[in-house]
Parts: sequence; structure tokens; C-alpha cells
Amino acid sequence: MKQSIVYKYRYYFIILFIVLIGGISLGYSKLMASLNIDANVNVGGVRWDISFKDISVTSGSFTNDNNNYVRIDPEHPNKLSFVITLNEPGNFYEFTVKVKNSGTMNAILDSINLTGTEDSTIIDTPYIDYTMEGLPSVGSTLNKDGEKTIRVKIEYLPNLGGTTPFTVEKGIELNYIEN
Amino acid sequence: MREKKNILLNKKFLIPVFLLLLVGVSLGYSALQTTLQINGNTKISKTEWIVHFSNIQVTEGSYLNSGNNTAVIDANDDTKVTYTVTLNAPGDFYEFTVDIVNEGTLPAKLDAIRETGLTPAQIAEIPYLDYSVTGMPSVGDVLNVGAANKNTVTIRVEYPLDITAQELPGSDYTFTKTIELDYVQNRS
Repeated sequence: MKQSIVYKYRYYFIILFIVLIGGISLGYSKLMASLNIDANVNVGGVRWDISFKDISVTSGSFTNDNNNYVRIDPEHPNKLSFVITLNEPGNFYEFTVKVKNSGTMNAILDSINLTGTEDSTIIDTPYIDYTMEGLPSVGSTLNKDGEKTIRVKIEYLPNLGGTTPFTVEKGIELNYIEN
Repeated sequence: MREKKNILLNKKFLIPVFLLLLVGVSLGYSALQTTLQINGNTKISKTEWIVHFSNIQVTEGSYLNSGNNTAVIDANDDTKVTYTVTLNAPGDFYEFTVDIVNEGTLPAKLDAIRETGLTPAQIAEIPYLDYSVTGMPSVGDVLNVGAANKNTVTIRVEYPLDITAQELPGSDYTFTKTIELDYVQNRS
């Protein structure tokens, strides 16, 4: 039986077909552009850690049987409180405390919250001398790894008429924000 | 009568008549034949297919991280843009614009957009990273030839300033993403 031409030359037709498809594909790929935008972004780990640290009570301070204290709030380390009772002339209580930026960001003092015995009350008591030095002011900066030292001293002055115990209770809260 | 019949049936008479008939038909057929010609003159114009990125600009105020933050078009392949950015603290941002241009002779059409990495919804859940892309063309958009028809894409990454201490990343976080735009010839 005679074979058809297509069957007889089928292998040639298959090759031609493949070449045709390949040519069409090549033509199509040539007219396609793929644009890529690649992103590699690193967000640095940061830590916010500004707190009161390192309370140091000066030797000789009147302890009032250990009822006088200075403490940092364990839940809010930016809050400090102290209660100091001086019973008689000659008693004094002095301490220093640091405000430290142990985080990775610079900070600026946004506000101060002072509670407890009003400074005016203390000032109006002539036989009580109250000094607070080094308290940062609003707007002052505290860069990372920086620290400031606050000193507080309360003294029962002699010969000024004082005869009764005097108690000072104060709270200091420093609110810092990122600078 | 008999002689006439004989003449008609005579081979010597029939053959020439047949030939004469054949020639006559051929002549008649050729006279009724018209040759139609289509002459074609086709010119294939020179064409170019050139779709790529161009004119990358970093927005003023972007955090440069001492020159280490960059957004560049690949010097050997202007279909690739790579930006490498480190944001160190809240408030740092990096923004740039880049044009998609068709400098060939054939109009192009955006056939597909593919993205790898985090989805927009996943990125939105990261409190210490704001990521935005504006001006991106949509699938089906046509990019005609010429600089005036360019698409300008803006990409911005930012370390949000209004972030709480609890939302801060305790360690470095790396974000990677690829956007792929496939352009084909616009045949419509």
C-alpha cells in the first residue's frame, strides 16, 4: 500500500514543527521585559532604658532606725521616692542617685513630676535646710550611655528653734522621650 | 446522399475538423483568460524593544546611614533596581523614586506583577516598619513610547516615630521583598 507523503516524511515534519514552535517562542520572549525591584531593609534593634540607678547614702546620715529610705519604683524605674525624718538638730540625711540612659536611643526630658512635701513648706521651716542639686531641667538631653547625678540633702539645723521631728516625703518622676 | 454521408464519415475529414475544433476552443479559452497580478512592496521597519528603569532619585531627608543606604539601578542591567537600607532608630526613613520608561519603538503593556516576601497585610502588622509603594502601574496598563509616558514609582520604608517602648524590636529585623513587573508588546 502506498504510504501518504505525511506519513512517509513524518520525522521531518515533527522536526519542522518543533523548529516552528521554538521560533515562535523565541520571538515572543524577545518582546518581553521583566523589571525587578529588590528590597533589603534592616530595622535596627533598639532598647529604651532610662532609669534611676545607684542610690548612695552618705555616711553619717540619720537612718531613724532604718525608717528613712530612698527607693526606686521597681515597676517604674523613672520614679524615685524618699521619706526622711529628722528628729533633732544635727540630724542630716544625704544621698545621691544617678539618672542613666542605658538604652540605644538619645533622650530628652519631656516633663518632671514632683509630689509630696512642697518645697515651699520646707523653705518656710527655718531650722530645716533642704538642698536638691543636679535635677535635670525639662528640655535637657540625656544621650545613650549618658548619666546625670542628683544630690539631695536634708539637715536639721541647730540653734534655730527646732524641737520636733520633721519629715520630708517626696516623689520625683522624670519623663524622657526620644530625642 | 450516400456520397455526402461518405464524406462526413471519412477519417481524413474528421481528424482535421477535430483538430480545428480543439484549436478553436483553446483560442477561445485563452481569450477569456485574464492574468491577475498582485505586486507587493513590503518594508519591514526597524523596531526596538527597550523597557527599563531610569532616573532613580533619593528623597531629601532620607536616612543615609553614613552613605551605606543605597538605591541603585544595576549598572549592567537597567531592568533591576536594588535598595539596601538600615534604619537605626524611630523616625528614620528612606524614600526614593524611579521611572519606568519605554525607549523602544513598540508600545508595551504590563502583563503581570509578581511579589515575593511578606504580603502587605503581613507588613502592616509589624509595628516598627512602615512600607509603602505608590505610582506602581496596574496589570493591563499601557506604557507608550517616549519619555513623557513614563511611570514614576515611589518606595518608602520608615521606622515609625510613634512607637511605644514595648513595640521596639529587641534585636535587628531584616525585611526583604522583590517586585517583578512583566511587560509585553501591546498589540491592541
